[in-house]
Amino acid sequence: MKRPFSPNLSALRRRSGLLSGNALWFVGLVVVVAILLLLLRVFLPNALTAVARPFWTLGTSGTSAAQNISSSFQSNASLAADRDRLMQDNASLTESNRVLGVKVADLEKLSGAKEPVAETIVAGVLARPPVSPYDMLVVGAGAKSGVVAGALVYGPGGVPLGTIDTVSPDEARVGLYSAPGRTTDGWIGDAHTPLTITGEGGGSFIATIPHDAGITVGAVVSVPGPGALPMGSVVKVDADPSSPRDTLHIQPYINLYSLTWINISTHS
Amino acid sequence: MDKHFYTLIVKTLFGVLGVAAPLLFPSLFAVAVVVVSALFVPSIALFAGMLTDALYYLPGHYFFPYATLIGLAISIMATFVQSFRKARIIG
Repeated sequence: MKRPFSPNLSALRRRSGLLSGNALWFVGLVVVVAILLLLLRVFLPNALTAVARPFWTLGTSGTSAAQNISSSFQSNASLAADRDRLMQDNASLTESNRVLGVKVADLEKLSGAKEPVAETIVAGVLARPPVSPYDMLVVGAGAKSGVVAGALVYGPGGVPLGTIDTVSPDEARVGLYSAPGRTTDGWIGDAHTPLTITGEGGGSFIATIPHDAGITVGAVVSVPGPGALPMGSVVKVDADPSSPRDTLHIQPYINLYSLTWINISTHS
Repeated sequence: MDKHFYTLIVKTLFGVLGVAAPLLFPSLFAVAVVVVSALFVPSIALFAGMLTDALYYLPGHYFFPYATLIGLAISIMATFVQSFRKARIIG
């Protein structure tokens, strides 16, 4: 007598990768971990960063130790030459800064107006690119320190870097202007020609401008802050004869990879 | 030393290293560490990707949590590699 067809499910499970116990266990683990991380990020944002904080500190210490070791292999002569050059640079910059300070004071006296000093919160950088694969910073100041979402973030020397994206009680995440595809309106050159700067990732920017604007390498790019704040300069101009617009490659003044402290404005 | 005990220690070490990599190392180096770790514990890559996105992903600026996708791809590839090794097809 012919037996009716009845699939042997246990044998199928053993042969099929999709139905195997290992695969089901793996999918279950993925779902559990994803839900756990999502819940942690939404309801306990401090918990994740609190766990990560010592690792970030360790990573930063390791990087600086590696830099120290690599610099110890440089010859004494080149280090002495570097020191002399930096001392000269420092002296000339101090002098020009003093001259500019006097000029500003004279102009303020002349116009009778004085720009109010912006209040900022100083925050240490916990994580930065390239440890963070995205163009963002995690900083060690949050709502408890008065940080609010949307506040402007400045690097050393008042160079604008981005805005506060999310805030937890003890930490905040900074979305950098250089995030891929992020557009920021600004100005370029001495004539303050308006342009839209687009983030390229890794701290760099790109922009297009009419060829007639006559922008060359070294032109200063500014973004709105209190006034126009210089944030970088043009390092390369791609001029296509068939296009009426030039493509500008912009490098920020601040090296994001070695950023340790930032200033956050107290209002958004 | 017992072979199973030795395997367990290696898996634990690479597991911890794979999870800590997104917190300690530059992202490209972290990917390399995670790939090596995933050869021993495939699910570590996915976990590392999710952890990376949980810590660093900014929804407003990026369309998709890329680290999770990369982690998933590495996990799937590592699972295949491990199954091939178990079946003595490679290794």
